[in-house]
Amino acid sequence: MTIYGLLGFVVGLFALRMFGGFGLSSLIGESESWQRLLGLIPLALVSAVVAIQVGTTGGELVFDARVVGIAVAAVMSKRGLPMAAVVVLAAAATAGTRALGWG
Amino acid sequence: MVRRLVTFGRRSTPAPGLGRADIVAMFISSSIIGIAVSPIMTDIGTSPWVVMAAATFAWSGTGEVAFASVISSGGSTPSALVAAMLVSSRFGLLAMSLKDRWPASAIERVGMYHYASEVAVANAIDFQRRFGSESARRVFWQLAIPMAAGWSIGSGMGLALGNVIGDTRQIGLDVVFPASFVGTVVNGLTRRDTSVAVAGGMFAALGLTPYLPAGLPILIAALAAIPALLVAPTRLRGSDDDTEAGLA
Repeated sequence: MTIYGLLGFVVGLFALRMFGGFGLSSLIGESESWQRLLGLIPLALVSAVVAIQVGTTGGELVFDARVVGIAVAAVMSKRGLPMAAVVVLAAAATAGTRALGWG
Repeated sequence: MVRRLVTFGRRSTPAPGLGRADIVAMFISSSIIGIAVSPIMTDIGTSPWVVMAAATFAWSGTGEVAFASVISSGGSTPSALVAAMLVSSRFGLLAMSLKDRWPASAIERVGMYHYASEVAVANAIDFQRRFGSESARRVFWQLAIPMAAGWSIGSGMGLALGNVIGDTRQIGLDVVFPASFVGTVVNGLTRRDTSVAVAGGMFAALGLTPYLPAGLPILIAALAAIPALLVAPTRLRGSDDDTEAGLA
């Protein structure tokens, strides 16, 4: 990332957030459906981010050791472990799988 | 206590804020994610101070990762910026989701929108539903400030660690970032409408990634919220607890 990249990155993100908060939000009604939608959008986005970070590399679908780590994270989350423990165990499971020679 | 934070668990105490353990856990999680992202940035030849400035002022891990992946596959700075903005466009939607959660001055709103992360927004919404607006506000800032601090500190640690370890994939650092969202996703699978949002978001993202430029699939995946809206917000059979699911 060059200095120009940095400037574009910082200014662009700030503009994006302010547009969402001050601009987009004024278009939104008060109904219960809108309120539900505002809760469902972040959830769909989060799920998409997880899928892309775990299941793709450079625009291609890839199935590798990251899947093992995420599966471990899912089980540990379900059991109620704190997020810090979940991410460390996920990293350890992925690292272990790679050490065994896959992914 | 911590369980309540990451899984939107049952109401165990009437306190309208998070406990210290929850806040420390989020600080540590945010730091670990910062550690994971910095080496990805240095891999594309980014100087350490730029990594720190990007982490501190832009505050988007996925944006950094998207930028780096375009550059490393031979793309230009403008195209990397487009990818970063597309991936980060969800922050605009997250900022939008904070609309009227609590009364705030213009200055506080700038801060809210700037620091609107998935975890802080999700928990603020959850606490608003259960305890009201003042509680939502308190929880939002209880999370936003330590997470922003942890992100910068972790990014600095990642710069140091990357020099020592070399390939940070060896220690599984590339799953840290997605793993930090797993609690939210797993919890979303306890209710019908939120399950549709989770499954729709994942399938759209994976299905479209081979065909569209980086970032667009994530943006389109947000549309999974629309079919989810049409599904009744009832509990799925087999769900074994009484927690309130989702970010609704």
